[in-house]
Amino acid sequence: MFCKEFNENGWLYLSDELDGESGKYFEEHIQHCTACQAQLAEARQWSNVIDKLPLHRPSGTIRKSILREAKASCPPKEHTGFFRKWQYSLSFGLPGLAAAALLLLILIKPWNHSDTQVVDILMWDDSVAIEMIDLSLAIITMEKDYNENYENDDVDFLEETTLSVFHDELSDLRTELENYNSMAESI
Amino acid sequence: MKRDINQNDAIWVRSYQKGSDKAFNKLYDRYERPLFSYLLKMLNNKQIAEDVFQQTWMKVIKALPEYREQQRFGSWLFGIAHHAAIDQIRKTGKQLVDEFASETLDEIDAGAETPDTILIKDEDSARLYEAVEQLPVAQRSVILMRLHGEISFKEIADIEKCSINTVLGRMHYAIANLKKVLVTDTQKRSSYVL
Ligand SMILES: [Zn+2]
Repeated sequence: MFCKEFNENGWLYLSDELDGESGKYFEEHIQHCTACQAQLAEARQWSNVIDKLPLHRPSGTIRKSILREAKASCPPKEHTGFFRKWQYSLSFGLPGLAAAALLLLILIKPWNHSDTQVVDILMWDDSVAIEMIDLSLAIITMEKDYNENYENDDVDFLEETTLSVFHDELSDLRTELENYNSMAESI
Repeated sequence: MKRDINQNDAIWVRSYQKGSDKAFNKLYDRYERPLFSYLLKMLNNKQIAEDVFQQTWMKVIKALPEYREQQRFGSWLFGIAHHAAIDQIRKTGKQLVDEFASETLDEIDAGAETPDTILIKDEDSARLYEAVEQLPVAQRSVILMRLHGEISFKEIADIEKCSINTVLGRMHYAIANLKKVLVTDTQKRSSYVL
């Protein structure tokens, strides 16, 4: 069984690359085309099988030399003065990080600022986000240095959690600032 | 808790640009195995694959401070690696031009000498691995970039500077060729039993 539609759309459909109209059209088509259904099932099977083929690592010395080169070529650090104040509290680890994010939220509550300041903050909070992630990375690296075992699950978990806390706090902050901004515009 | 991986990449890139060298480690660790496996299977030689792998990252490190996310990081990285691999293959004197020129979607006809559908068994996996290495370079590069590197077909078309139909054509041919290998093996096995 064979359908020309599959050639044109099947793999794009599986990799989520069919947009709007063509996506809708193909989805409707496969509802009643048994050839496409069979070909899709097989294509999925192939993806799974190839996905499971073993992956390889280069020799360990290569990782070291690439990371060394990256470190040497890294642009100089940008620090927002504001953040230096939080470095100390951040160094206490996860609870400190959450507290710092919360304090940040309180400190730049939008109603304390004029319009232009809010715009400034909106521009600025991306660099704040980077700074926060940067600092959390520094903490994680410190912990990793204590524990040479790179695959340690607890370290990964801590990292995920830390980043996720940051992410949530910052997206709340951004929404709040954006709400304020549109409110200010409507006045 | 898992966030979009592309969003993560962008964060690490920007973080590195702002002076966090550790952010680079995140990028490297995420792509080390998919990228090296891609090069290994493209070049079929560990030593050469390691050289090209290193060259690729050195280029990335050099360009990263100026990189502005015109392209998704993963697709940018694989693009650099792909071109380096193709240069390497050309150096060894292989003819690639003809191979890259043909195999568009229009040429695929119904059936194309392969059975409709086949069942892939776990024990086929080792044979399949060898079969991937023997695919024509153009087909191999599409199937591996898509499935190991998670590079979209549209991005592959950009990287290889060809139409999306050509990319899809190569994907179809790659699968058809792998299928032939498995079917031939199965036939050999059953004739041996008989
Ligand atoms: Zn169909």
